[in-house]
Amino acid sequence: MSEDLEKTLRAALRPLDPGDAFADAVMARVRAERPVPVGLRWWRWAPAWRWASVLAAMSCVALLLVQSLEAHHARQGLEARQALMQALRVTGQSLDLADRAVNEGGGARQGSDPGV
Amino acid sequence: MRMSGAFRHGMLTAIAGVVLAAPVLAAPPAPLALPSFADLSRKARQSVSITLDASLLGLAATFLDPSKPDDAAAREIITGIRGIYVRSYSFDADFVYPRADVDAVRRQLSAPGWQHVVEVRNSHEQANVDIYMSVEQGRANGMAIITSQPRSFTIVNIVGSIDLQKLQRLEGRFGVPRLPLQESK
Repeated sequence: MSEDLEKTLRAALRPLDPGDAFADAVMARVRAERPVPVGLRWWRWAPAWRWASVLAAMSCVALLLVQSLEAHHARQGLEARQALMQALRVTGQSLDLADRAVNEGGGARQGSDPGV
Repeated sequence: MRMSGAFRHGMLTAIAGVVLAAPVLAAPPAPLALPSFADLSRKARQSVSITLDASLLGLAATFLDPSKPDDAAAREIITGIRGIYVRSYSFDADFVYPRADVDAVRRQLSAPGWQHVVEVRNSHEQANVDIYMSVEQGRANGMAIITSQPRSFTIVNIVGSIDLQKLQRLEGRFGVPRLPLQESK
């Protein structure tokens, strides 16, 4: 009887290979419970702050982009304005030259006939 | 710029004749095909090449300050204008520019729809000035000015609805001095 009990106990308590899955599960648990560095604790435990940070960063990028586009637009506009004023100046000078040429007795013809 | 009375009267009379004859004239002109004059920029003492299409004119208009007289005048002048194209070159020697290129532009203006309203040939100064207008439905919708002298030439092409009264407001503006000697004429 005692021998049967002993055999039964030996059979029940024989060493078993837990398998790879067990090792993986243990390692995963270890990794999961690894202490978070102090500096990152707020990041892990405050998702609201995390999203707020991402939102703030995106807002900054968007703001910089808008400012850059506005600066580019303003630069183009000022250049166009300067070109316009110069074009009007040259036009005025050309009309002035025509005026002087007529008054200085050049061979002028003014008419509506297509004479080219 | 101060146009003298005789010139202004003559020019406006000529343009009025063109405008009255407008119904028989052709469609509005496209911008002139101006040569690039790329080589001339290196030879020239001073060169101005301006291309302002409708979108750039609109952009420029938004940057004009109505409280400044020149800006206000410019805004009025460009109302209805769809493009301003300027090529102007000055040189240190006589006739270093290809007159054939300038003549090629003049030839474009012999097309139907363009009227040669002012032609000045000053043999003394060798100054040639031509002003052409294009008119559609009684309204000037295009203008070209070609001036050539031994050491300079300028081509101005304005596309769009041009109000000649507004154009007269160029007088004394944009750095163009009034001509006091002509005030009494």
